[in-house]
Amino acid sequence: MEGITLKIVTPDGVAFDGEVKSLLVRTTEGDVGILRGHTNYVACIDYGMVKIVSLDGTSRVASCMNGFVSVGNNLVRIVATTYEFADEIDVSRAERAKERAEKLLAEKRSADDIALAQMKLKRALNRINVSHYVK
Amino acid sequence: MAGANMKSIKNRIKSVESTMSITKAMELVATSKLRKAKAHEEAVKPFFRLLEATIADIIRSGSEKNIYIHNPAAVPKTDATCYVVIAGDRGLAGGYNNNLFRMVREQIKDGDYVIPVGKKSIDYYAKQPYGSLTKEFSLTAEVSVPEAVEISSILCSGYLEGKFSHVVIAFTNFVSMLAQEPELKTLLPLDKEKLLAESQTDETGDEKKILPDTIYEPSPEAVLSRIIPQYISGMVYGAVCEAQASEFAARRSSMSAANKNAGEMIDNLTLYYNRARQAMITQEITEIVAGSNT
Repeated sequence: MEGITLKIVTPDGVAFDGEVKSLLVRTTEGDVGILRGHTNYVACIDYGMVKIVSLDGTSRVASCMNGFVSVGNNLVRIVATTYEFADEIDVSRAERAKERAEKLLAEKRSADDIALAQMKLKRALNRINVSHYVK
Repeated sequence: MAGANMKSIKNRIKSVESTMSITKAMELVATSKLRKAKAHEEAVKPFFRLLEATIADIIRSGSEKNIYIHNPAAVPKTDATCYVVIAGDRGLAGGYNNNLFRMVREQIKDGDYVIPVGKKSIDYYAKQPYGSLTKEFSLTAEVSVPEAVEISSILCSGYLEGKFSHVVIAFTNFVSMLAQEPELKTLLPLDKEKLLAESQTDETGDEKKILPDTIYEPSPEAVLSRIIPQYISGMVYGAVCEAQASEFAARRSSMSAANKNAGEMIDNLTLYYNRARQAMITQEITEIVAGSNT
C-alpha cells in the first residue's frame, strides 16, 4: 500500500513535504484520521495537533494552530500560522507565555485584553500539551 | 595664509572620509539584511498561494456570498477606508518613506483610518488627523507572524463592525535591486474575479482541476470566514517582508550613491590641497630668493 503526499506550509516556509502513511488532525470538528483514498475534504484547525505516521511506521506529533487542512486526490495540504513538531517546541517559552497570560487574566482588564490573553493562554497550553509527546 | 587654508582642507578631507566609512558600513549591512529579507519573502510565498487557491476553490464550489467578498449589489454602510501603511524604521534610504507617504496622501480622505507600521510611519501619522485603531507596531523589523495575525484581526473586526468598508495596504514593492515602487493594494473586500483569475493554475503550472464533491466542515461559509482572516494576515506579513526588502535595497542604493559622492569630494579636496601646498612652496621660494637678492 502506498502512502499519501503531505505538504505543510506556514508563513515561515514549508514545514513538511513528503510521503506519509497516515495522519491524524485535530480540527474544529474533532479528530480526523486521513488515509490514502480519503474523500475531498476541507476543515479548519484552531488549536490543534497533528500526528503523522510515516511510511516506516514511526510517528511524530506536532502542534498546529490557526489554519486548515485540505485533502484532494491523495494530496493533503495543511496551511497553518504556526506548526512545530513536539521536539521543536520551546517549552520554557510556552510556560512563560502561560504565566504571563494567566497574570493578565487575573488583572481583569477590558474585554479586548481578556480575549487576547485567553488566546495567548490557549496557544501556550496547546504547545505544552503537545510537548508531552516527546519520548 | 596658505598654511591655514591647507589645514582646513585637510580637516574637511578627514571628515568626509569618516562619513564615507559610515556610509560604506551601512551599505554592507543593508546588503546582508536585504538577502535575509528576500529569503523571508520567498518563504512566505507557498503559504500564500495555497491560501489563495483554497479560497478560490471554495468560491468555485458555489459559495460566494460572504461578507468579505466584494458584492456589487450591497451598499456599504460607510465609505471609510482603513490604510495599513508599512514604512521603514529609519531614514537614510533615499525617498523610500516619503514616496510611500505621498502616494497614500493622494488617496486618503477625512474619516479614514490608518494603521501605521514602522517607526517613520508612526511618527508621520501621529501628526495627521486620521483615526487610529491600534496600539503601535513600532518596528517593521519586529513584525512577525503573531503581529501580522493581530493586525489582521483588528482589520477584520473593524470591517465586520462596519467601521470601514475597504482595507488598503500601502507598502513598497520590490521590483528589482535598483527599483522599488510604492504600491496600494486593496485587501478587503476581496475581488472575486481577480482571485479566480490568479489561481487558474496550481503549483506545478497545470490547469486547475475543480475537486468535485468536496466536504467542508462545518460548512463552506464557516470555512471561508475562518480562512479569509488568515489570508489577510498572510497578505500583511507578505507585504511587510516585501517592504523590508525594498527598504534595504533603497538604503543600499542611496548609500552607494553617497559613497560615490564622498569619493568624488575627496578627490576634489585632495586636488585643492595639493594646489594650496604648491602655492605655499612657490611663495616660500619667492620669499627666499627675494631675501637673498638684497
